[in-house]
Amino acid sequence: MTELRRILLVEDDPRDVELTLAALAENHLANEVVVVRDGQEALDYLRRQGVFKMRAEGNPAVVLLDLKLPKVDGQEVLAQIKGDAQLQVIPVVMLTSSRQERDLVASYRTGVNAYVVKPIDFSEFQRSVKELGLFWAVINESPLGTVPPSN
Amino acid sequence: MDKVNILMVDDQPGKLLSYQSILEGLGENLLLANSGREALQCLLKDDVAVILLDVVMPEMDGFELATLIREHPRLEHTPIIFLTAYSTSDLDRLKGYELGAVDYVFAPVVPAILLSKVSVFVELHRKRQELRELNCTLEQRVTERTAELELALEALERDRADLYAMTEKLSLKMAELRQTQGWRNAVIGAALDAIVTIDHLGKIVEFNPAAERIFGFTHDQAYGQPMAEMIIPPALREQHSRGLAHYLATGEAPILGQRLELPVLRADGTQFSAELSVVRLGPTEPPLFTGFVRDITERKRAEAEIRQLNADLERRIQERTAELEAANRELEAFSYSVSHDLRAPLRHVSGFAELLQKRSAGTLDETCGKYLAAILQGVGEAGELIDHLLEFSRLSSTGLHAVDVSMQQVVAEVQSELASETPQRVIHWKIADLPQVLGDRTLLRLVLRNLLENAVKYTQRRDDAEIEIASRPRDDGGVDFSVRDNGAGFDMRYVDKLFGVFQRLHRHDEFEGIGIGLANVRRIVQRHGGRTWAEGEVDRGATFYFSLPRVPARQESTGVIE
Repeated sequence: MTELRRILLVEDDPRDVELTLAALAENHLANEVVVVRDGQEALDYLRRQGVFKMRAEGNPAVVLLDLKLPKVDGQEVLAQIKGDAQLQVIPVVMLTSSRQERDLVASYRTGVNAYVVKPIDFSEFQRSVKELGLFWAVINESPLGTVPPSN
Repeated sequence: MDKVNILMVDDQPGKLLSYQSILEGLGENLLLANSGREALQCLLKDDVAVILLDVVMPEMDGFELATLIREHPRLEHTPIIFLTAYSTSDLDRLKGYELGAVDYVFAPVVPAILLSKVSVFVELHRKRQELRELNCTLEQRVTERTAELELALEALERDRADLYAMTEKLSLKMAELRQTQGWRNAVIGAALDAIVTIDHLGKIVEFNPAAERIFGFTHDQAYGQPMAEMIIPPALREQHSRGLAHYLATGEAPILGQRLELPVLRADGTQFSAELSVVRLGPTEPPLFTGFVRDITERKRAEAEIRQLNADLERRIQERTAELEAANRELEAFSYSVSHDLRAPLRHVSGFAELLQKRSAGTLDETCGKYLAAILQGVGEAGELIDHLLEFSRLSSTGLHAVDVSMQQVVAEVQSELASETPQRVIHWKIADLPQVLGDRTLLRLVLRNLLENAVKYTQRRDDAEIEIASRPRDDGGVDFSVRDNGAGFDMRYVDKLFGVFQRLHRHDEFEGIGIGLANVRRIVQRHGGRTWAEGEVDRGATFYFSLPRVPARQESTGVIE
């Protein structure tokens, strides 16, 4: 059985965090989810710096990245990830409530792996999360080292 | 010299013969008569210089014959020489004188006397004849001369008539000229422009009332003065005199007939902007030049004002444009904000309500379950509203990507899409041949999607639903498209509300929808330069129209309309 890898969720809104976690739980995805609350924390986590200096090595299986974030926003985080030789292989899924095309276009230009408009309908959202989670966190083999669950 | 006739009358042929022999030597014509009768016949026929008349003759004697002869006016003075055998007697002589006779010759005739007497009369006759001829010539010359004089007189008459006519014409011309001069003076006097004429020396020879008014000099002050020193600013005088000299030398003057704008001087030394044109006045030598000068100070001021106003307007337009652009950006930011910030809490409400629904399954009573369902339904609708509102605002801000669009194909796509979404419906579609248009395919597809979706929706209660799509060329080169259905229709009283945002003519429980579709249709069609309208009747169906401007014959390239 494939070891479950961590999912990095970058989301500032606690309710969205809770809903996302609930959706993951509803879909019986047992991956450990690391939640960070802004773009800077996300980069710190990925680069093992700041408060995450001491964390175990290894990239997450997937980054679920909100577009609108305090401090460093989602676009910038994406650009940093894709511009970093160590990080660019990590799949990034943009989670956002915007349907506006420019967001879509801008995101793809910086190499986002998937783009999901968070639907208001929770069950739809659940379905999206399920598909994303299964695809990126379970089925897809990451070419680089994986992080085993901490517990 | 012509021969003259000498008539000899005697009843005795022998005597006649003897006279004849005496007078032969004269070399004249000798006419012989044997009786008074013969003599008269001869006299009537011929002109006779002298008559030799025998006094004693039978029938009619010499005196009787002489009397008859004298009675004829032509013969009244014809000389007669009586030949008589009688000795001289007072009686005979008296008779002869009384009768005007001229001479007598007694018999026997002495040839020398007869000859000399006849000669005298012949000579006399000749002289008379010459005199007559001379008279005749003279008469003729007088006649000729008279005729000549008459001709000359006639010619003179004609000349006089001509002269009179010429005088008439001349006086008419003079009158015209005086009138023209009068007109010219009147025109110049009444002209609003200053009219100033100068001679080749630059001296003023004409200065009209307008010039007096405009320049502040009187005619008398200006007349004869050098114009340059009076009205041309010092800086331009040199140029003026050079130009004048150049023209006089070469006949070239670029300013003649041109419209110029120059500063000119008033009597008080102030300067003003003038528009002027200068012409050479007629072909006189040396030349005269007339300048027409107009004070354009006011016009200049107005022009400056207009320029200022335009500049202000331009600036205000720019400011307004900037304001509008800022407002537009704000609106976009607002939309963006709505999309994220408004959607997020809705999502949370929806998410947690749904989670609650799952977790509480079986524990909530029926009423609470209904409440929860109502919350979920309300949130769902709010989300849909936001999505459409965003779509509507996006339609206003994105550019059109114009390409050749086959409306036939777009309709076919939308129709099959709708057919698959409503498999339970039986709809009779009537789709005419539709042309190609130039437009944004995605947006035009949205137009047809909205219109056909409406048609499908509002015919849902018809068993014999019928939807017809057609097009018709417009006079201006564009096309009208129409989508007709036989559905619920609408009341024409509310036709104005059809295309408004969130305007609905049907209750929600009749037909679903939020009332944004037709607003989008109108906006898209307007952005293509067309317009939308509709006709309908309650329960009898509706027809929605939209026009698109001029269809290109063949448009290979694509472009952006904005």
